[in-house]
Amino acid sequence: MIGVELMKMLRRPRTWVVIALIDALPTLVAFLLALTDVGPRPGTGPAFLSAVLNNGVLFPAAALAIVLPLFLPVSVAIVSGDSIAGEAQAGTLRYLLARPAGRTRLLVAKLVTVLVFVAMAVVVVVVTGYFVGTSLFGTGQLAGGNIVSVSGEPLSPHQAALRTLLAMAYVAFSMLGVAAMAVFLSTLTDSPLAAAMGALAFLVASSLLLTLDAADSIRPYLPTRYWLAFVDLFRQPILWRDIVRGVGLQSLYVAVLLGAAWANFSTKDIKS
Amino acid sequence: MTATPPPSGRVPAGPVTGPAAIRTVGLTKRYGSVTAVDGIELDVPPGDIYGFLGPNGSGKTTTVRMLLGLVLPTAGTVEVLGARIPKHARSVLHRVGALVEAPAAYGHLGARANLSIMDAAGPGGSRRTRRARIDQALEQVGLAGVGRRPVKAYSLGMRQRLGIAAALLRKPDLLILDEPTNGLDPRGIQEIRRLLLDLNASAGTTIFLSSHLLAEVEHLCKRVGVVDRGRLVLQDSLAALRAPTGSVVLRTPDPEWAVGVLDGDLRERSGDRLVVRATDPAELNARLVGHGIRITELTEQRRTLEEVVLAATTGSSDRVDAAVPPTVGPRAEVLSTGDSAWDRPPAGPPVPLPTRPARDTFSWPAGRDTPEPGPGWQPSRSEPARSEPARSEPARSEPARSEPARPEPVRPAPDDRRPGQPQPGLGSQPSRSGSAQPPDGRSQPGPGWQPSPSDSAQPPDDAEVDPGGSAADRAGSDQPEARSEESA
Repeated sequence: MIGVELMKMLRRPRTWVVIALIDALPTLVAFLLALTDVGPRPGTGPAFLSAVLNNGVLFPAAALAIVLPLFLPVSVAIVSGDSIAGEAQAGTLRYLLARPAGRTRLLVAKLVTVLVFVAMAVVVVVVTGYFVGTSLFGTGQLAGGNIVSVSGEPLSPHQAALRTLLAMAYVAFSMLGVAAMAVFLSTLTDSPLAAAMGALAFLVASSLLLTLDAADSIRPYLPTRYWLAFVDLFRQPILWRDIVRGVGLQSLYVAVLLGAAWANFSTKDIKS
Repeated sequence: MTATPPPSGRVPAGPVTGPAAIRTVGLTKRYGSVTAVDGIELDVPPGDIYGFLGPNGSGKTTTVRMLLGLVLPTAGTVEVLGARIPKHARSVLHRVGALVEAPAAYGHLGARANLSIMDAAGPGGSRRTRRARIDQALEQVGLAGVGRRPVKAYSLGMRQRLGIAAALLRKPDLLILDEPTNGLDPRGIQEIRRLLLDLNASAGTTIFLSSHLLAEVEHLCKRVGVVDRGRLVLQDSLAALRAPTGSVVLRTPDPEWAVGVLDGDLRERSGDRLVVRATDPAELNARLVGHGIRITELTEQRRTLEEVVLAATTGSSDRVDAAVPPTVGPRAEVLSTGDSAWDRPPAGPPVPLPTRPARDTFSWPAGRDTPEPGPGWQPSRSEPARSEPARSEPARSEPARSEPARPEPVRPAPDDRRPGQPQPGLGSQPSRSGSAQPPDGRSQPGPGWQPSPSDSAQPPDDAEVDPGGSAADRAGSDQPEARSEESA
């Protein structure tokens, strides 16, 4: 079943269009930076961008920072929101369940597919970011190959690679909260658009509350609160506090929302 | 319908051999305060071809969905092939092929990829035989030459065929088909009908056919269940339901003489068409001919399935009249086969047809001379002679019904709307009884009951059919581009 769902996603043109679009933005940013050589001043603009001009090895992390706030969650919401509701809208859900695929199995297969999609998107962003970054900005030979970390200390290329991998894992994990929300909404409605939009509304609300001082007391529980904590991975030494909290918070959201999705879907009357 | 396997299902109830293909006990589904399905007791023995009939919105589809574990019953139990649904769905549903409402497929993929995905999505479909099974199923439904074209480019009929192919993929023991001939042209309908009959005869496949196309069911099914407003109001063999009414319909150029000879046996007369009380048509024929009366046509009157169903059901729930909700009297009783509702004169005192200005947007094919309704009244048939009796007048507790020469029902439309028919209850029409009876007396059959396309356009069952015929959706015969693509 999981294999079937993966095949369905991979054979779908939309999957690749979405990934290509996610990838296009950081690539465009890289080209603009390389052409103009005008980086944001340190401390402004997306994370790492000011450092990238000196060393392209950091560009994968910069690319993650560029897609993380909007592009990645939008694509994840679209794919996850489509998971059940898309089948319902196409009418294939009733045939899958009458096949019988099994409701829990189908839901698990859809979740695995969403996970794979998130991983694919992150990997593609990082890999193209690496190639684009190193070819446009060089590998920082002037600085002896070392990378200046966010906290100013130098990072060896080995450390940088390891931390980029950690950052990929963290960013992918951060997306699971959105994915779980969209999957839950997807079991509620027969409209994939509504599910995706609902999940995005959830994110926008969270981002908005983050900027509001009056929402200070609930800030630690907002799903997007710790998203950008992956920047801390590039500190020397790594600042783990927010990363650990981010993982814990995302896990909580994922558990609750997927539980709700399962409870709803396994007892739902399929009338689509 | 020849050479059916032993359990022919003529027995009204009880399993014949092994567990019933479908058995429901007290099956009930409520959505809030609405009871969609109310205590349905289905009993479909193995090897049967069962027609599940009912007006739109009567609970057919909800029942079918409960059989497949898609909708969970509020009360009651479902057993399919001896296993409880939905609890043991996984162990048994892969032996069931289903077409629920419309077919569905992934539009960007071709037929084979779609079937492959569906086959791989559940148990019971061996990967090794998949290719061969897909090819065979496509062959069976006439899509063998369909190639790699994405399904979104398919016609409605092709999608329908693909949906049936998906149902046949694992050579199921039970086929649950909801409107299987939707979107097919008459030739396609006949092909599918033959396919189903052949599957039933050769493999003993039990077929549960949910439809509101009465002719479809009449051609195929051995047993019939009629559901109305969520209740099963009728479950019997088609042969028993279509028992002779004890009357003979005849046409004669000498109706006056015939009336004289027949005397008290005459039940109804309209022009040269007589309905005569007689149990033996041959004897009647001999008697009339003996008196020198010429006979052009003489048929034993049997109730059509349409009459049976219309008598057993109350109305289409997709018909929504303004003002008073339909006063449906006591639920239609199961008919005894002796007396035909058709024979009954319209109840109540004769009421002259209300003379209304010609606001009807449709045109009457025949003259609008309306016979005075009364006992023995018979709608005059302006259509070409047909051997079947006139359309039914279901027994209903309605005030006098005045029925003018009824035009042949509007061509079966793809949906339930009848173009040109004035929307009853919308205008400032005089108040009328709350029943679903527009003043023009054309309410029967209601909009939910379309005559099957096969009713008129269908060639006889035994007609010679070119299998590579002109059905536009039949792949391989008229899609050279699809084939060339494949061979390329």
